[in-house]
Amino acid sequence: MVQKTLVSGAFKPSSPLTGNDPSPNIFRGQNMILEGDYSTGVYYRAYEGSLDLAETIPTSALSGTIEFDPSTKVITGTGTLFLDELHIGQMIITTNGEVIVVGQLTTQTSFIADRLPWTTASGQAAERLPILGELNIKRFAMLRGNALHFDKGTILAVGQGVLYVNGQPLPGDSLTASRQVQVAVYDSATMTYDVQSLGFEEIPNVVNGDVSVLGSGGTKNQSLGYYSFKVGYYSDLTSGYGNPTPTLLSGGTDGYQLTAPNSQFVFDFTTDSGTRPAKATGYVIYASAYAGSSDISKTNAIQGGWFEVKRVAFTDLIAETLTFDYTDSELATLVSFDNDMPPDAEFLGTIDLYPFLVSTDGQGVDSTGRETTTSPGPFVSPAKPDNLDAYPATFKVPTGKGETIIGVVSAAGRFFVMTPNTLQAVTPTGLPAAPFTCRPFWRRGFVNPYNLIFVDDTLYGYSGKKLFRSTGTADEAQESYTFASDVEAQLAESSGGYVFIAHDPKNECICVFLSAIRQNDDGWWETDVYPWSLTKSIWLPKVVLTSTERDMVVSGVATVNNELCFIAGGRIPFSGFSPRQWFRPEELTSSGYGNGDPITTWVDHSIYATDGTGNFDGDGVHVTTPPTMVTSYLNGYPVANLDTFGVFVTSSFYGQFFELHLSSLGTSAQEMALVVKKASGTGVTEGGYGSWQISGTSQAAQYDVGGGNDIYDNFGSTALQYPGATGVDLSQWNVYQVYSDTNDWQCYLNGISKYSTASNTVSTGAVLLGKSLGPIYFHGWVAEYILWDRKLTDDERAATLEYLQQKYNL
Amino acid sequence: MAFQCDTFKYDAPSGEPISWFLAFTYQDDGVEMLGKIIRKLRAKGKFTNASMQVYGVTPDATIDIDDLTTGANPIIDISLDDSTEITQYAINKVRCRNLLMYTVRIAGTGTFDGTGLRDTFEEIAILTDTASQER
Repeated sequence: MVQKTLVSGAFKPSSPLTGNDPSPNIFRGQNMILEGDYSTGVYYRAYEGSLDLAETIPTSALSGTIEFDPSTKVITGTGTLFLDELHIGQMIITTNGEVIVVGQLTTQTSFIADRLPWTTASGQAAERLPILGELNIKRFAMLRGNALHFDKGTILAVGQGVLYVNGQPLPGDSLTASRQVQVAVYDSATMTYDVQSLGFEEIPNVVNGDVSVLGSGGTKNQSLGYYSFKVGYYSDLTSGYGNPTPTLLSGGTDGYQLTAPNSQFVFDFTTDSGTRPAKATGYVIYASAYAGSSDISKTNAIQGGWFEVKRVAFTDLIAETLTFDYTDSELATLVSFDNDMPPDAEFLGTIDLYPFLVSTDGQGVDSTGRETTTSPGPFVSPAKPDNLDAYPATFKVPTGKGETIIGVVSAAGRFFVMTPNTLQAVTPTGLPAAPFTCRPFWRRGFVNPYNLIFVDDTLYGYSGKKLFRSTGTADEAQESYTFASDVEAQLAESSGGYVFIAHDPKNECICVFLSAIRQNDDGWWETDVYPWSLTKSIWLPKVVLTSTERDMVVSGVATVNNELCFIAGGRIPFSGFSPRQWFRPEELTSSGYGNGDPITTWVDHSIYATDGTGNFDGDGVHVTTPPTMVTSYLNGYPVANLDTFGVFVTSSFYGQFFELHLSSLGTSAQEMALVVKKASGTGVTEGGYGSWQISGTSQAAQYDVGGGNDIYDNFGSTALQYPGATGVDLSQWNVYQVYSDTNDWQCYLNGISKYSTASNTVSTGAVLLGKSLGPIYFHGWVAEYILWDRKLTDDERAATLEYLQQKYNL
Repeated sequence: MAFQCDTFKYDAPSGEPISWFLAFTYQDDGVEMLGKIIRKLRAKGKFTNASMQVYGVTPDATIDIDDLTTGANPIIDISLDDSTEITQYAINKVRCRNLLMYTVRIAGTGTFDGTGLRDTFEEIAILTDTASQER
């Protein structure tokens, strides 16, 4: 006999099946992490888990609906605004659970996905999933883009959606990111933020005639000569400023002449006072110099230069005027004319706290304000070193061949910009006129910003279904992917848009997240994580992020405070919004009912566990059982049949119904949702279908009156409301929603309001489903019933409808 | 359908059940043509709800990687008692014959709240025989 010992080896799932591995490695495995010294002995210990940080980040709905199928990557929209609402590399999830990453935006109603859809669907609502990043020692989350932290707590952000820091919006002014860069300035006294967009598009509305000379009152004995001015806006929040007005001259020809000692200049800002930008704090006044003689000052007034001589806050103006004199010694910074507005951008980058806008000046879209140029684009646009509000057009640098930038990674005194075809390095030049240059680095393309990271002088990137890294240090323009051969087949199962790379300092691993790689047995998405051990230079078994209760679609990763964090989510089960009673088909199945069985009890799924009791009124011949179970009747779900015997005659007193046993409903608002279909009435005399007697006073409520698809309903009301002809075929499956509140009663069919009244009194009364006063009975089927002892919000009502329509494919 | 996203810390005590497994590369012990017999197995480690399984490849049979991944249809399945410390488990006598290639899979499901030891795998010792007859 031969003894062999199987020890903790490397993870090599792409090994051949030859049986020739001399020292057995791990061929398949999950959720085990290697510890110890690989040269002397190691062991595997179980993954500790994914600790929920209790920071729920909202998703955000797209306008319109989308349509897709597995035969094409082209996603089409109806009523969508893809160019405005989506970004390259952005991940969305649809109501049927399709996870789509934007590969290429084409029109407002069409984009190309990064991978083929798995399902066919139309009319799908879609939600954008948030990303995650590091912001100093905290996590930030937003829909797209990034945020950077600067001194004194200042934050710059560009992208999309509310900026959440450790799960919370900024205190004070919340920041909602856009393509226009914004700054959040921290106020230490209040520990809150003031937020404003950067840049001044406007110049003050000040003209030659708004400046005059006052021949007395001065104190500086300003030299008698000629002077001219320019005026711009500034912001106290950023200390930045905009471009100035044209030169202000007396009569438009010469400088304003001082002819008397201690004269002053008077600026009247009345005309401008109504058009000042909200972000401006006051005016910067630039003035020409006397420079030694009246003749020189006259020339200077025409030719310049102009120097900053004063900043005056709007609040310090007296009757919208400013009166002052000055001497040459007060002249400071030379005026500049390149304080251009920040262009639309996708990302921010920084070198030594010097901010850049990344992915700017792309082709415009047919949308207001973005028709000529917008993001994404091929440019990197630096700010002026002394003016956060200015992004000179002359400073910006393009990528080689004008490739659109889809991500940015800072590393080793420069930063790398990712394009669909290459990786390019942006480095300082030391030249004031052209401070940066952009050069091609790798010929590898990317899909989303998380495809690349820089750790310990090495770049790791995912491109073309392979993982590669720089050889040696990132200074060398070479890449190698042989190190990932052991997991080559597994990594190839994903696509770039779904791949997120992050550093795990705890285990010293480079972790490659393959998001939405498959659905588990419960139908929820899960994500695989492949760790590359930096200390052992081997791959470790994958970690599977999964849940039996929700999707675990990873949409962002970040290493913060030496901890690897990720944001994951997607679909979650419909919570019901705390209903008072909830009958679902699942409980019919779990109760053991088979096809045709009488439903004696419909188990309540709500926390109140108020079960319904099946009952009937009959004569011993026509109707002899409570409602019965029909299996696989609606989209695979069973339903309750309240027309088991097909006995339906006008004035009949036979029928099946459920007693709801609700005696505790108060007189506050109530709401109900019902998935319901009435029997067709074929072969019987059309008459009034009874419906329900839920809380309302005893009156003859009917779901279809006389076969005309009319409704009478007294749900939760002292009065019988009459929505009238609904225009909806009630003999088909419909979602009926109705609420009753004080002077507010309304009902909907499939989300469309059918009747509302501002005259209503909430009532409690008999609680029956399938029977109302007459008695008359409901003849048909009920798939699901939910009752609340309050009125839902509009969003809750819409979510309830969405849940029911999705569940039953209505 | 409702949607929700949350932030998580990677590899941090969560108290959630974590299902793990390790399956080794297939072995033919250098004698591809001869059948192998697995006679004994012994595990060492700290395990919870764990089992040790043997998978083999017999002549004229497909190699079912999916089964190895999911833990379905092993030749033999040995339950391991829960342990709270690293444990040298007892020898398990088995008799798995006619295997041209074989491998061992060990799996468990444990929770970790930050205290005590997590499930830990140290090694599996196996005793095999090689048959003299070609298969």
